[in-house]
Order: sequence, then structure tokens, then C-alpha cells
Amino acid sequence: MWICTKCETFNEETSLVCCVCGNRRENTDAKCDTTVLESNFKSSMEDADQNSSKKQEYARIKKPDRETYKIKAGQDSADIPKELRPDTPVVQEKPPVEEKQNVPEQKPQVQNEDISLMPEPQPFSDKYDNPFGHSKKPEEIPAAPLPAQPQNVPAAASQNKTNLLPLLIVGGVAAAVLIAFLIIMLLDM
Amino acid sequence: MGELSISMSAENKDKFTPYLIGDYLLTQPMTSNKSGFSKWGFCTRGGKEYFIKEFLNPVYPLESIKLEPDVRHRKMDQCIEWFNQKKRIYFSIAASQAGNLVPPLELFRNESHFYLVTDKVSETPMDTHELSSIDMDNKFILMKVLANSFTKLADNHVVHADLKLDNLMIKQTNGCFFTIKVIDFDASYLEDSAPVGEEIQGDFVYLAPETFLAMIEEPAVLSPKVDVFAMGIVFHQLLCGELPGFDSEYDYVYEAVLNDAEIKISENIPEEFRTLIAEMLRKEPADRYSMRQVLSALNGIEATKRARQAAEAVHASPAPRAEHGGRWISTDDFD
Repeated sequence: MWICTKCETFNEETSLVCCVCGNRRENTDAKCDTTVLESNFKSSMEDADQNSSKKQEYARIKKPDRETYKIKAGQDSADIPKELRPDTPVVQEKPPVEEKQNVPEQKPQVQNEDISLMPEPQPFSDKYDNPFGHSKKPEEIPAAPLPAQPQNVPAAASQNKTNLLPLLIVGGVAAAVLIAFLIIMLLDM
Repeated sequence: MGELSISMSAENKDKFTPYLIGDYLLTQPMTSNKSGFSKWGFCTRGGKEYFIKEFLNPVYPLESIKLEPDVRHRKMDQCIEWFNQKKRIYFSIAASQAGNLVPPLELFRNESHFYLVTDKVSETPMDTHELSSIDMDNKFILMKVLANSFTKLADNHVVHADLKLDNLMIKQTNGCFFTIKVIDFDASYLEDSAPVGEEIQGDFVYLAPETFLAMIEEPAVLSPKVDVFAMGIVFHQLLCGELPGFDSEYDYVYEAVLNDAEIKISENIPEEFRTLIAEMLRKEPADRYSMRQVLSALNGIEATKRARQAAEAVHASPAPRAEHGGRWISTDDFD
């Protein structure tokens, strides 16, 4: 197949002139494959929002690659997210617990955690070394004081309660008036 | 990067935040301008621009939406039926591609809506003012391009069902030549599964008589001859810039044809084409030309003109005829 440059009609490979406009075939005419065009049409009823390769691509970009977090000589592993540390063992998901029917309720048994799955303690970092050879342990680093909570600001929950109080009063008064009105009406009858 | 720059400029300009629909990044807000049951816009994927259409109906029942089980099943069945029908038509259209259709590229669901993607056509629809500036040579090529494209569709039993100037994009090609790109297959159907009653879409200006009968649920067979009727009106507009004439008591051509009223084909149109248009506007589909007959008739007109040109050339000069390089017809030939 070839495409006529004049009217853009597809023509048979064997024809020397365009079947529509009579234009002579030129060497520069683009070739085309109609079978490719036919199979080009795609259709899917699956939710594209879930299958979007672009969204997956974005998600991959967001999630840091393990390779980029390889510890170089002298680099502090504390800067790397815990789950991406190369030495951190992969914690396997526990199989779903099957629901037991007609079984008397039992107290949950405390199971020992699989120690082999626990992350290994990280070696003490060079970060705390000082040039004088004195090594400071993490416990020795004073903990930063927690920011003091402002005392004059009422908590959000209590503020909501105070907002409800006038509404309750108004509602109560309205109900009382309504009941009184009904009683008067009944007495009149 | 290209997509990012497009999205940034669009956001700044129109305060529109581009978002993803499947793998396509919508770069402009969608509009429902000139589209009955859908919204449309432009999107990008891999740095290339596409046209995207969101169907407003059917709506897929998502798991997150609370529905009675029977309602959910009914909606799901509607969606599956609609999707399979569209898929079948779109495959047939893709198989009919002869170079000048703008066929569907992808039909997919994103959350609760269905979307159709085609190539973006940067050209504009034809209008009568533009048509007047095109010479007769090019007009004839446009007619042949149309007949050729629709013959391929008819061979695959596809009825476009909305053939009109608005759905014909005129494109300037190599130098000063023009071609046509056929768009909008929303109203299309396959011959064996033609719609009935209110399901039928189309433009009354170009409506075939049998389509109107099917609309009012009278006995009628819808076939590619529906497109032949519309093409007859398009050819008339293409050749003289006007619709065919009919009595003022009618609003549309099909009304006049159904009532056996006279259809006046412009005197400004050359005789060969007037005969052809008359054959295309016949009331009964069985009497009307098929798309292949239209193409043959155009080839016949071309052959006659060539023969006349050759005879005139021989008569005028005994010298051997110079190669015409594909220019087989001229405006003067029709005078």
C-alpha cells in the first residue's frame, strides 16, 4: 500500500497512479499497512482508571527506587526510609486467619514474634563521632522538648459542645411552647 | 516534559487543571458544543495530541455506588450490550479505512464513563464560502475521495448516518490540492443492526426518506443508501454552494421527496452531475444508486471528459498529445 500525496488515499502497491485522483506515484510517497490500521483499534471495558500505565508510572516515580538508596561508603543509613534499607528483612504477610464457626470463644494466645523477621539492629552510626574521638550514644543526646500546647485555646470537641447548647435551649423552648399550644387547643375543644 | 508544559500553560490560561483519563492527559476542559449525547475535548499521550469523546450514556454502575442488585445487573447488561455493539462498528470502520476516514483508535471505560479516542484533525469543517474558492478540478477530487471512502464503508456494511458538511474536514495537501477527512461515527450503525425509532440520530437537512420512516417506526430498511442520499445533497452544495431546491411548504429535502414533490437541482451544476445527483436523491432506496454506482458514475464522467479532451486535442493539432500529469478535468469542461 502507498498513500497518495495529493488526496491521501491508500492505493495498491501494484498501481502506479492513484485510484481516486490519478496522481502518479512518487518514490517519496509514504507506505502504509492497512492490516496495522485495522488492528490499531483497541477496546476495553476494564476500568482504565485502575489500569492507567501513566498512573502506575507516576506511582513508581513517587516511590523511591531501592537502587537510589544504596549506602555509599561513609553515608548515614538513618537518612534512608526504614523499609528501603538494604539490610532490612522483608516481612512476609501473614496468611489470612480463617473464621471458625461454632467454636467457643477463646482467649487470644500471645504468640512469640518471629525474631528472624525483626529488623536487625543498625550499626551505630559514625554521625555521632566527634573529631576528638569521643563517641556520643543516642541516649545521651537530649530529647528535644515537645512544643507547649497553648492553654487558652479551647479544644475543638469542647467548642462543638458549647455551640450545641444554645440550639438545645432554643429547641427545648420551642417544644414547650408547642406542647402548651396543643394543651390549650385540647381544652378549648 | 512536553505534556507538563502544555498542562502548565492550560492551567494558567483557563484555570483548568489537566487530569488523566486512563492514559490520556486532558489538556482542555471538555465541551458539549455540537454534540448531542457526549462531551469532547483534546488530550495528549506520549507527546501526541488526540481527540477524546466522553459518552454521557450509558453510565457504568460502579461497585462504590449503592444500587439494588437487579438495577445493577440491568445497567451492567446495558453497558455490555452498548460496548459490544460499538466495538463491532468501530472494528468495521477501522477495516474500511481508505485513507480519508478518521477512524476510532480506542474505546475504553474510565470509572463510570466510556471514552472514544481518535486522531486529532486540525483541519476545519467545510463551509459554503470555502467551497466557492475551490476550483472544479479539486471539487471533483473531493467528490471522488468521498465516494471512495464511503464505498469502503458500504462494502463493510457500515452506515455513517450523519454525513453532512460539518462532518467533512477539508484538508490542504501537497501544494494547492485538497482532500476530505470524514469524522464523527457516533450515529453510525451496521446494516444488520440498524436502530429504530428514537435511537436514530442524524441531521434533518441530510436525512434520507427511509430514515424518517424508521424514526416514526414505519416499515423501512436502513442501508448504506442512507449515506448515498446525504451525499447527493453534499454534492449539490459542493458544486453550487446551495441545498437542492424544493417547494417552500417543506422544510427539508426528505419531506419533499416523501411527498413526491419536485426537487430542483441547480442549473449551475454541469449536466452529468445533475443526472448523478438526481439518481442519488431518489425516494426508494431500491431505485437509488448504490455507493459503488456513484463511484462508477464519477469514473464514467472522468472517462468521458478525458475522451473529449483527447478528441479535441487530436482535432486541434495532429501533434502527439503532451502528458497531462493527472490533470484530466478543468473548470472550462463544465461550461
